[in-house]
Amino acid sequence: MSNIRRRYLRETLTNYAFIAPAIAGVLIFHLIPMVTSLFLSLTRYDVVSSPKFIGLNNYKTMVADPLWRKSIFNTCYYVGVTLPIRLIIALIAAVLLDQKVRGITIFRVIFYLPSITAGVAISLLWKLIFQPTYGLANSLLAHFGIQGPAWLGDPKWAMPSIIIMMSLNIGQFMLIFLAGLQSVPTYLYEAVQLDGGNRWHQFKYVTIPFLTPVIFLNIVIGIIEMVQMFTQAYVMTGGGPMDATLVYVMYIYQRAFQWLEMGYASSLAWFLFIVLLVLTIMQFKLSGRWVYYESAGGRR
Amino acid sequence: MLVKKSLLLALVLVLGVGMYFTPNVLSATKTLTVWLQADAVRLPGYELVIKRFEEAHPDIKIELTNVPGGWSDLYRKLLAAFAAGTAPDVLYGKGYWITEFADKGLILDLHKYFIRDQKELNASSFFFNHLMIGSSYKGHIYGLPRGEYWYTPGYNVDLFKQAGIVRPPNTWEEFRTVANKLSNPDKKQWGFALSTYSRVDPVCVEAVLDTWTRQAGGQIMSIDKKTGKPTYNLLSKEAKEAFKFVVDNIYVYKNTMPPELEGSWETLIYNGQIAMWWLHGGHISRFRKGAPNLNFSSFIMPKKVNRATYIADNKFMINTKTKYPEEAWSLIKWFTSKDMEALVAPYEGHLSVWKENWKLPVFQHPAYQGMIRQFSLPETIPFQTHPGWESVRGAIARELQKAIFGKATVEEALQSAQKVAEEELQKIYGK
Amino acid sequence: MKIRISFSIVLTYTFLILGAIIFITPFIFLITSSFKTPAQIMSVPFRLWPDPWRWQNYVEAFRVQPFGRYYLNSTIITSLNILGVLISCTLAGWGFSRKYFWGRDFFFLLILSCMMIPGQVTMIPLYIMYSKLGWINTYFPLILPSFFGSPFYIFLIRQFFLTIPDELADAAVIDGCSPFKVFWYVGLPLVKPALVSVTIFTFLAVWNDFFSPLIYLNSPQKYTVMLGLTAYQAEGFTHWEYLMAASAIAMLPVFVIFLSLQRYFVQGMAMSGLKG
Repeated sequence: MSNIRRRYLRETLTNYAFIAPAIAGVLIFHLIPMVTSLFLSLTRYDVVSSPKFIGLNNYKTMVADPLWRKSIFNTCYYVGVTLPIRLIIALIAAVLLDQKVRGITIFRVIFYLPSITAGVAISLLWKLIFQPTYGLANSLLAHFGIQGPAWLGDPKWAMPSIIIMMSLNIGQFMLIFLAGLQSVPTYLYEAVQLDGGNRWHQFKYVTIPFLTPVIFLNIVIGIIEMVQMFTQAYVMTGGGPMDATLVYVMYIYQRAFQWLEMGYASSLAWFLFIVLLVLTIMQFKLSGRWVYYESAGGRR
Repeated sequence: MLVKKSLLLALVLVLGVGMYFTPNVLSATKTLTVWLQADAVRLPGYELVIKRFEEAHPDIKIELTNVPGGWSDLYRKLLAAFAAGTAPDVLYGKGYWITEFADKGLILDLHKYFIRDQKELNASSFFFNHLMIGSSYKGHIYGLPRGEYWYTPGYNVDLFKQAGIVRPPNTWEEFRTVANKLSNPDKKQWGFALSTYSRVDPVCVEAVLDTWTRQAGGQIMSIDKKTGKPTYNLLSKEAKEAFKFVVDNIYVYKNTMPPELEGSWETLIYNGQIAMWWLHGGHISRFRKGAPNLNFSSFIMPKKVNRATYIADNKFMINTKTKYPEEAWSLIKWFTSKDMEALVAPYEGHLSVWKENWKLPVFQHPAYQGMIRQFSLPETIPFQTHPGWESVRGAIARELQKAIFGKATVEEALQSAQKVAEEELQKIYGK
Repeated sequence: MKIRISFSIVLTYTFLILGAIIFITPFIFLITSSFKTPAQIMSVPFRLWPDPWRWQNYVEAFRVQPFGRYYLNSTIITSLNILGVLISCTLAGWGFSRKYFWGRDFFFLLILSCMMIPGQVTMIPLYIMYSKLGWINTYFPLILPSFFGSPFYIFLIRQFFLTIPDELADAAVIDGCSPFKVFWYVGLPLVKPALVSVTIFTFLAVWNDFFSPLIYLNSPQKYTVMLGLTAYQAEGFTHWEYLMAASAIAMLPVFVIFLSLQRYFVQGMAMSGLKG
């Protein structure tokens, strides 16, 4: 073997030494479990006894399962309402923070606060806020003479309660919008001004188009993250009065760990996977129509 | 800097690994792991009992784990632990888990121990009878009780006095009248409240349908004596009448706290906004601590055809895979003994299974009087369970809640509940 | 001209302050509630200010649950995760940033595509595997995966490594450095901001993690902070005063780290967002 080839081989092997743990990780913790769960979805398995092959029965059950439908509805309700709200609030916050005023850092921290403490602690805090008798929400409303609802106890208001709480969780989106805002070339703003446009025109014709890539990014990230919501529902309502907050992952958890139906839970998980995959691919395909990439001269 | 940081982290790693892998070098003592569930009020009582046990048995050490969360959390964790082979030697749980666990071969058949030590345990013939129904599976005993409870109505004495109500209601009609009189929904005052509407578990079914149906003279479930297979009938005249009574109280007569406020149940009682509710011994000890100024008592179930309620208790069970069955048996016997029950009583609140203990000062609170009278009624019987109890009753609860939350009529809810009950049974028993 | 500028600034400040009030109110409620007695928390009408300020809540919260233990557990798990991520992802990021070698892009894409797999698909087989290994109720499931790379962080670190000119690495090789030494002495120091960002992200993710401790840990002695918080809710009754105190303490490290390392956090977010 020639010197060059020997060196190339050595470099290749060295590099593989570097990436070996990662490749092992991908196999052990992602690919092999993924394939295994596909097989599991064709069985009935309660971990205590051995798995029993039942073919496509789990999927047949799934399609006929009213709770499955309900959990899909709940998840769509949650994502469909909360994501636009969060994005809009995040955009407003980013625009505000982009102004060159003093004390911006303090405001940025405050707006980010709900996001970094996200999860159990914040959910429990809002559980107290939404306590119908002595919580902050109803006490505030009572001040204005309004009789507040039972929030998390009322099937109609349980999901809206979670939505309200999550609407303040904008930190991640806000930062990405900020980065996007800062990449807009300022000479274009001046151009609009010279043409006689006001701030609103600047926003509409310059800012927004340049923000479309980050809007797209936030939507993709947002959907993937929010479809997998679990902690909030578990901690605040356990699935909600009358399954009002039974989101999809909550349902997977119930079937897997409360009823020990690992096979059925696996089929539920695979359905989620396929849906997310298709959704993301569709989003990327459609993005060509509305996302503007300056580097590519307009359209990617 | 990075080197120092990584060394520090590596040290933490070694420490961490070391801490959790220290082998149990003490081989002279036998260690029993116990999982139970107790809130801050009850836990000291159980810890005291365990301490006394360790004093009396120096060669046995108890490792107590108080599993936080609710009963369904504990159930799930136990199942997971059994599957992983890490379940405790002694476990504490709901009586109706016995059918599930015994069916799967997870808990120990205690029958021979029980027969051997009968005299030591046998306080009264009722106790034995109750055990045979409530702690058994296929005729064998699988658990010993800890904390008997049955529901009886409690009431706020001051509210009754203020409204001029001289004695607690005696019949369903009187109950409705009294509840109406003490209700003012606009002022957030209600005559009655239940605490278990939104739970998707058997307790919901007990609270809104089962008990009332039996009071109306019927029953929603019967179990074939030979095969142990259950049949559910939620469409009987009595079931419809009972469920309608409960639901109408919420929506037509508006004398019952709406289910949305279930989370505030205890607060509303403490604040004197609820006049009557169902309580058991555990509530009594908790209310006494949480609302010392609350003046409350209890009475017997109002009568329709009878004054049915049911007796249940939590059980101590033993893992089939335990290394020390005799020691485990002596521990759970210890918990059920007369003196230890007396010790636990002020913390736990449940009436002791030993009638002699009913003379203790802790049980002289007025709220126990109605309870004791209810206990002596012949219609107060333990309830039977079957394998799949929790999933069937959970499915029924889901359907009943549609009417409880006002989204369906009583008829519709019972119809769909009957349907899902049959579907669940089919899943468990086949055709 | 001057008036218009002042007006827009006033407008900006108005909205900023309004927004800040809305965002910070829940936290004010958290802090004030943590100092109240149960009776005050449940009192109607609502009084914001505790009277008196009950510092004992914070002490008792640690007594009612072994919260100090939970804190220690969370610290250990989080630290080990950070260690694992830093080790595995820097190694992999460096490897994938080298000159092309056979299979480089294929495996990189493979790793990236794993980001698409929702955790629920892999969690059940992983749970079963851990169960068979007897690792339920241990910390292995919570720590081990971090030592085997994490797609997002590998991607992020690789981005930073790519900005290092090849000449630097080549020069080190000519000087006789082994490949690992090149990585350690040339590569790593130049991507410090990325390492800080990854550390912060990992810290936040692991400290706040609820799902994995929920399914893998059974004994309360092993609980993490987040899992322990839910233990303040008993059936039918919640000790809000302890819960709020414990929550405040649970949020504290996150808050401190975010405040002091904001810069890296923002930078890391921005880099990941725009390139991704």
